[in-house]
Amino acid sequence: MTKITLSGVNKSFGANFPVIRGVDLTIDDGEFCVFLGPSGCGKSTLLRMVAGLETAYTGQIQIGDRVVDKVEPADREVAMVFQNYALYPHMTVYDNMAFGLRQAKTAKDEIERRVKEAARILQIEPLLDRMPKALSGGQRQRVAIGRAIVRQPKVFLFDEPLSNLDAALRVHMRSEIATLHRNFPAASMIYVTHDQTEAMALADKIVLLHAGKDMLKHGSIAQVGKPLDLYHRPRNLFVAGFLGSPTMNFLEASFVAQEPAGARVVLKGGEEIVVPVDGSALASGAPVTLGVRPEHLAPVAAPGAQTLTRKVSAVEHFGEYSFVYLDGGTPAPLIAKVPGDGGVKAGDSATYQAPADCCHLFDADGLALNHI
Amino acid sequence: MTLTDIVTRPAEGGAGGAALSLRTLAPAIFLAPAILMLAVYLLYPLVDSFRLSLLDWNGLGSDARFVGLDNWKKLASDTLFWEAAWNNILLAVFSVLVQMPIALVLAVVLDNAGRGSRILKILYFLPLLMSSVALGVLFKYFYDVTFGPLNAILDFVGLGYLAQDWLGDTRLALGAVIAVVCWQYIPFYMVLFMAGLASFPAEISEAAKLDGASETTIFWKMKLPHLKGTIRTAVVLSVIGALRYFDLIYVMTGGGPEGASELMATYMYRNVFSSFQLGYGSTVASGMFIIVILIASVLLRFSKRYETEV
Amino acid sequence: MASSPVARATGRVAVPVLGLFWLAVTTVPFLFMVMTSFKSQQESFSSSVWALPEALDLVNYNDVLSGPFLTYFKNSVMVVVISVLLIMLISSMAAFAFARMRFRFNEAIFGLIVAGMIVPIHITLVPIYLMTRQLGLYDSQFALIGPYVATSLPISVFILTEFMRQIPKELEEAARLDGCGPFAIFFKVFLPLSGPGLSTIAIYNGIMLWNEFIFAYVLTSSTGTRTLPLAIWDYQGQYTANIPAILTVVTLTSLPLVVAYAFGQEKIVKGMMAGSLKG
Repeated sequence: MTKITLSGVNKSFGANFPVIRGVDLTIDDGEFCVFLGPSGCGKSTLLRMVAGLETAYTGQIQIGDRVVDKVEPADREVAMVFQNYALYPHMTVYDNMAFGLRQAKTAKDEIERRVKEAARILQIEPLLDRMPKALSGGQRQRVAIGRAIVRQPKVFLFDEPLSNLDAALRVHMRSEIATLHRNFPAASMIYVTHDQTEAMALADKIVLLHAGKDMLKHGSIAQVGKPLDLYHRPRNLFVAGFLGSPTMNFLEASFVAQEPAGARVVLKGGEEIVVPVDGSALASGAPVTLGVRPEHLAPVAAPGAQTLTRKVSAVEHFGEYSFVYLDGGTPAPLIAKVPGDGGVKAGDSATYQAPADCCHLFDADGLALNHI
Repeated sequence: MTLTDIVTRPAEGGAGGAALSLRTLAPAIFLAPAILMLAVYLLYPLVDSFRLSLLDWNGLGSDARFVGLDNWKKLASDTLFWEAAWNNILLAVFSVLVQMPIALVLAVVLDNAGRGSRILKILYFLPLLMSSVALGVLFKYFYDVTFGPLNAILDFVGLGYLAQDWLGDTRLALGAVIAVVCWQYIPFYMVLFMAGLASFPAEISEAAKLDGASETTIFWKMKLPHLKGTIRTAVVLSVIGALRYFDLIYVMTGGGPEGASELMATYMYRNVFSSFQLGYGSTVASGMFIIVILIASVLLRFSKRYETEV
Repeated sequence: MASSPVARATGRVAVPVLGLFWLAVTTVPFLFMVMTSFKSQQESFSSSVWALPEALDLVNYNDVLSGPFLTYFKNSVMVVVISVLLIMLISSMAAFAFARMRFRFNEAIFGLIVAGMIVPIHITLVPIYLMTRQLGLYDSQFALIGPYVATSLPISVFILTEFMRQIPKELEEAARLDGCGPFAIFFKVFLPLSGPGLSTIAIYNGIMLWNEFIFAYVLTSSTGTRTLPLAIWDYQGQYTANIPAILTVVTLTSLPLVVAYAFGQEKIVKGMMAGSLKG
């Protein structure tokens, strides 16, 4: 049982600078859980709490059946891979991997067996006698992972492990980490990143943490769920705006009436859109925010139902697709991500349809209205 | 001192009580040897020196007599002490005035000397490896009236009339010693300035050259301001060093002739170990301590820069 | 304006001229020292200072080395080696605490210790002399080790603390996850990684203590216990007017450091420049 449970966890730096706020979270047996969020949201702090490297918090952390708040990091049966690898520069690759086992007084031949096995899995056998400084970034990353593997932990902790690698290597190592997860199905993994692509690619479950201007929410969980749930059904404006690239378009609108098909809203430009959500709690004329992702805006020939027409301010071509920048978003320009060259140029007027199913509606507090 | 609240470990351990207390005590254990040594050999002597300064005692018997502030009153009106302190200040001032410009010139020279600079730097640095006793004895003979090479050199280049009894003449002794101090320490400041010059970004002088600035202009307008911090550090070091000077002067002149090169430290030494006035000698030492700390803290406050990059 | 041809020409001349001038200033006293050490006492009186020695006469060297010179040398080696080892251990332990642990008054204690760099050691001389007598250590090599270690600690703690602050925090955390307590972290991770800092303080303090005079002068009195700087002092009293013999002693005492310097100039220069951290 390596279920990890965090209950009512709070932490502040100093008297009144909360970094973690009211976190309740369960990570299931063998689950790959990603802590995602912008820098400063406390995701690393949360991970380090599980590791036992951050103390002085309130609440409770359980690994398996054991409450670990007062357990030494080394005794928590967790292993961690650090952002900058944190390999001991004065030890060979072999000694780096063996160090923790030696500290635990593991038998010598057992150490050798485990290190060799990990080296085989990670294909770093020829490097075992090298010093860390003679390794490339990718090789160091493998050694860091190897150091975690040999400990046979119940929980693997990754703290932005790929952020020091170049883009191509990052994609490669990402798939290796996914393989690692498949090879150790019993171990739970917690992975911290600010990169949504990594999160989407790896996670069974994403924990997105709040950060930024809204100090009341800073360091609290914005949403927990499967990657595609967060993408398709963001619970609030923060989640909607964080996931997806380019980011979701937001348009100011006001609520008109609740209809059987959903909530009817009117945009600043006069267009009326029906969003399949339950807006029955809203008063007529209440300010709302309509959200629609750039990739969901489909070009249509003429204005009609669920369409909006705007002037094109710029077009960026990427070959396979194009970004069409339109006037009148809130606050950023609207973007439509369209296949091919988009068929329009700056100065044109263009019409796009927002399919009802792909529209999101947020109330004045930034909370998403439930889909019906 | 309470060494608790250690954060490198969880506030309360779970593994076991004994291990926990060891960990909570870790900072104390790591600091204990250093603090013990400093308490015994630095702090206690410091305090004890002030205690001894209130005694009239020859250091041998148990006839130490408490005389209150008598020694301090004596010190306040002791012209020999104040002349010694004044010599310390002369030493400090001339050390700075002589060492800094020469060291700077040499640093610039080596900065432009290309391949030869490494070997020159290494040779220049040799005097810093010598003990001041060795240098003191060497220069005592170097300055010797009849057998010393200095007068011989002067004679050889036709300046024989300048030959002097360098260490025997009350007007010259202090200057002669200062010259040796400068001879030894100029390379130190030179290396310090070289490091400062090396940290001057090459792009800036390239940009300045494109703007039409000459090497001279670049030096005065850019490199010298860049060295300001380093020079300040050098001055502080040089002054504090001069205030505590002892070995070289003690060996070369013993403070003489007639106290012409007496320093606070040599005067203290003479009182304690030649005149066996332990009490008054301690007063001199404590007075010296106060003067050094006062001047040092004023200087440090003034220069505001404590550290340099080596 | 770019530098004029005249200015550049002066530069080309000035650089070697000044460079060689200071080389002469530096080496002349050493030349005098070495040359004289090969002369007989008679020769030093009769011939010109600059005359080369009549023969490469090793009489002075024989004379000095057959005396107690080697005892001084042995004492110096012993005192300096023990002191430097202790300084390395004690200051790195303290530095580890200052750089890596949080405890009450961390910065205040660090500040106090570092302030010890400015204290003129002369104020401690009489009390240490009295204390040494009371402890029965007077006139033994061990009398020197305490003061040597203590006076070297402030700068050493300062240098090593700065050094250990640069060691990434993650290494410490990785070691904790690997099961290390504070002692294992110190001995197995931090100490091995502090090599450059340790070598700096070893070189700096080693040279300073090798040349130390005043404590050795006050706390020891007999040939059997005194260190090399005192050899010069003692021989000077013994040989009085035999300048070549005395300068032979000076040459011999300076030789070990010069030999060491020949092997690692850059390291020694860098180590000595640690002195600029005082102040």
